[in-house]
Amino acid sequence: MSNPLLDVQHISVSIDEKKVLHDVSLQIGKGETHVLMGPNGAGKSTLGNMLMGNPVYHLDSGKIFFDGKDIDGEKTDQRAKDGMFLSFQNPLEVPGIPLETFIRSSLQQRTGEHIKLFQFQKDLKAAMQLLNMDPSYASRDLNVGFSGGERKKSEILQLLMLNPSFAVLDETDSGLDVDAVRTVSKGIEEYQKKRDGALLIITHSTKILESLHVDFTHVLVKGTIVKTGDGSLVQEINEHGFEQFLETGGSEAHE
Amino acid sequence: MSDTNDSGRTQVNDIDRSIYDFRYDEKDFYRNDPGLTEEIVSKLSDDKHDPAWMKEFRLKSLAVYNELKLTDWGPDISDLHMEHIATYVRPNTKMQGDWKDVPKDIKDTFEKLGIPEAERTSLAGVGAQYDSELVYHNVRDEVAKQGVVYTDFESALWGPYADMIREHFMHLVTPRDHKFAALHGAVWSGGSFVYVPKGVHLTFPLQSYFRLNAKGAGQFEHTLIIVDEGADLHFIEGCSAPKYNVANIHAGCVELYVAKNAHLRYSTIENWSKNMYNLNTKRAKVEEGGSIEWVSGSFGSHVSYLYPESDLVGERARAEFTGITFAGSGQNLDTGAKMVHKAPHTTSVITTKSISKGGGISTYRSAVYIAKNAVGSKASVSCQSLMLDSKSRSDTIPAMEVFTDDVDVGHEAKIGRISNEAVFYLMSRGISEEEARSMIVSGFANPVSKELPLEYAVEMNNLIRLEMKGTL
Amino acid sequence: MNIDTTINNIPALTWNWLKINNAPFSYSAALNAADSTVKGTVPEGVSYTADAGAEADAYRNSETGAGKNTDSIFAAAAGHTALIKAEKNAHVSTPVRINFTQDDRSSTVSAQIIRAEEGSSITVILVYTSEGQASGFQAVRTICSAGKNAYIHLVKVQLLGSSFTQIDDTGTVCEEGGRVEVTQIILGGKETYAGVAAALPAYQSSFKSDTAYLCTGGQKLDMNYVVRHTGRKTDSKMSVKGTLRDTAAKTYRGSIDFKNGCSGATGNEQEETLLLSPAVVNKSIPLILCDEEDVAGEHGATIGRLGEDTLFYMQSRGISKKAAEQIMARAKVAGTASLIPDETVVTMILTYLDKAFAHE
Repeated sequence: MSNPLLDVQHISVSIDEKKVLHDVSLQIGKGETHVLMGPNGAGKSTLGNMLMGNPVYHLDSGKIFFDGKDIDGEKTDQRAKDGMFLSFQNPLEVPGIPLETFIRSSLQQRTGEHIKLFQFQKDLKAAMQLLNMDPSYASRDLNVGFSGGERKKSEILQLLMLNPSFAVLDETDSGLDVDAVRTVSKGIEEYQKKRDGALLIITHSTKILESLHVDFTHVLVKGTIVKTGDGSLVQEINEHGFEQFLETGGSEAHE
Repeated sequence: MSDTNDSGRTQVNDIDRSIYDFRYDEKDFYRNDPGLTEEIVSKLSDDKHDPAWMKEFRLKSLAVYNELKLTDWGPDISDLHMEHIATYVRPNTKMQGDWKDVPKDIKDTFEKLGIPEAERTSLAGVGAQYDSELVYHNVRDEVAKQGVVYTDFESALWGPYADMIREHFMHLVTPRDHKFAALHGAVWSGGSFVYVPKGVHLTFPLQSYFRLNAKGAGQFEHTLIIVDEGADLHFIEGCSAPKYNVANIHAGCVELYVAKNAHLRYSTIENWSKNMYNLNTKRAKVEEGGSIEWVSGSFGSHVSYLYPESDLVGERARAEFTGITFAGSGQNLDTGAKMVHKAPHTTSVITTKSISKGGGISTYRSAVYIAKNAVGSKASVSCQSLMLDSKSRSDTIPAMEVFTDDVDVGHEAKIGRISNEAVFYLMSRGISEEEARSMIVSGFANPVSKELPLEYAVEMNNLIRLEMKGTL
Repeated sequence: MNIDTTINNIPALTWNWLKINNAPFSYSAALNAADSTVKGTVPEGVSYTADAGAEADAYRNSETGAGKNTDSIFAAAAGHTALIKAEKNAHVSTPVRINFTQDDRSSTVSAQIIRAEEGSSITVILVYTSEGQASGFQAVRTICSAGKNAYIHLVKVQLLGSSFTQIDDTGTVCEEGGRVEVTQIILGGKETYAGVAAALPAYQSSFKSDTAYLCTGGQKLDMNYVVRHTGRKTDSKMSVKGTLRDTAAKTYRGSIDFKNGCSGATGNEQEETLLLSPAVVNKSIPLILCDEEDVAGEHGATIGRLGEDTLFYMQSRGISKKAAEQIMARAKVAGTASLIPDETVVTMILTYLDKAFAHE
């Protein structure tokens, strides 16, 4: 693929001197939806965090290009301004900062412009409605006292309001009930349609993918991508699990 | 006189870190001001046209001041310029300092906080007070319409409330309480007297800001507030602008009387300049069914000793204290609260936040005392401390003493740093690292700022912002 | 011996009117050294010496809970300081038991040094008993030194007579990866001064302390616990649980001290006190001193009566208020006692508790 939006080339990543990802390569084009699956402990979250520049992870080798730019060394907030987004697996509580204020501040940082309050509130209200979120959550402190489901919705709400060109969704469906999964899925679909944004959906179950269009599927086992296929790979995993891939998973560190 | 280096910044001497050593000999570092004689106090009293009882009171206080020793705990105050006190309180003193001597960082702060030109000299204690007289009189007339008495202390001693004042003055905080209460009793000057009659609910908050123009104002200011039965008042003291003075001590006193079923909210933002020793004493007495809320933001001063105390003397009396202390470079702020339960079914709640940065020392110190007869009482304490770097220090020293079994006392304290995960989360939304830290600290201070009227909350957030940028 | 001083001194002073900064202590009577003799045979992997001799010098400056002001009392144990050493890599499963049976009117001082060499683990249990109404004085000082990746579990059980005064003083220190755990049960005596100071100077060393007590009648208990974090990634957990009844009085000082450089350290301190009579006195001062940014410290305390909800629940199951109080008081002690790996000791504790509640 020429000019992919995200170009991950042979990266090896470690945390606390422990190697987690080995020689991982991945390319995501504009508007494409990729799914990353794998058993627990495969290193999926690491990839998402690494792309976003979480300082606890270390890029041992390889390169990451975003929109043609080598982003190694770029701070997290700069990557966000470049158009990246990460929906966290366990969104933190941040006391004292209301959800609405947080989103508005983020938008302001991104566009560098003053946000027109009226339009912003209209957009926020519409997005919350789409996600079946009670409007009172807008004035509540960010994620403080939110249930698991509400926190995930808060992440997708941010996705819709911040409108990035590329979003990594880290286990967005974990801990959600059937209705919540459907709602969140709706939000993701909205993002796909409205923005034509590129997506990397990290998950180890397939519930959330049911109504989404998937371009590529990758399977990550013990820090290595063992298989890449199209959308039908999801169905295969649904039926047969990860068994077939566990033998081929590599854990030897490359020097 | 505090030292200034070439850039005009106020220099503060190194803080003695061995603050927890058992007491050294008082002779070694602290001397009573030899200049503060009976004669000077007498002359001060005459100059103020004190009634005879007040003059006598001052002299008795002076005797107690000379007798009492300093505490054997707390920040070092050996750099306190006591010799200025006598000079300062001497009648007809010219000692007011010059605008050109006011440190540059103070002037810069006025600029950053957007303090109007006219007010700057007043805040800097360099005389030529701006015309707050007019504003003050307007406020005074407004509240008089609602039956509330709000006057300066000096004239109140002769007015219709003279007896009421005499009955209450320094009965709650007595000169014997500690050395600086005694000093206050001897040289107090300026301040406000507020009386809210039975059942009156003042519809807007009363602010003490306008009273800064009295001589010695803020230095040894005395505030006496009496909220009569069933009445309601919100009083706001201080302001976010730094108050500077050459005589570097502030030994004020605040006495609050909350009568049966009355309610008082007492809000403060203190930002004394960083050469000041803030040795303020505040105490409230709450009667049956009465309640008091303290909201307190401590930002400035080189050293602070500040523990507003609530004495719950009537059944079902209630006190709440919400406070934040930000100790930056060169500061040693020892603050907290005291709750004394002396009647049944009383309730106290303490919620504090403290932040230490750039070598600042913040100590949270509290005492919750539940007397034998305070059955059915509840007390809860929650203190959180945020360390912003390893140069700073944060200590939590909470004490609880319970003399009966029928109580419910809960306490929790946490100390830690700004969570890296929280910073990463905010940065992942495009917010810069510096901004993220600032937001988190503001969020941390939120429980206090939301208790303040909007413009004060905004001021407080601005102060935090400036502190975080390290430009104060 | 004539001593008039203050002990159990708190690391940071506060208002004097609270009378909580220390415990005044005075004593004038002869002190006799009492050996710390192991009950039964010394387990394999452990070496025992009745007097540590020169080896005691290494620990002369160890910080202990009761503090330097008690040094003159413990000087009397010179020549009788037992040294119990677990050899390198020895995992001693049998606890080393030392019984102190105090005679009426006795006045004794004992001291021990427990050293666990690299990779070893050992449990030492000290049990103090006497006749029910006995009076006297006992002072005990124990120093624990855990070598690299070694583990020491020190258990102290106080079941002294109702007129006894006791100072039970402990100091601990660890090397890299070393762990010390102190379990204390305090049920007897008239006046007990318990102090523990734990030093964590080494990387990833840790300290855990569980104390449970029951004070009835006019019993007084004065405690001083301090943990000093100096090493990186050190961890401490302190817990104190107990019940006060009749005219009992207790003071608890618990301090977590994070010194500059102990990055990654975590400290936690919890206190639970059940108050059962209107004339009891409870003083608590849980301190956190912090000079390092990268730490997480927390403490919590709950002090008060039996909760209404708990009481109601128990009453709905036919349990009277008095019985409910006893059950809760017992549970606090039994819970901590379950950490003691010696059935006979646990039984002694439970039997003592039964007797304490018997005349009700």
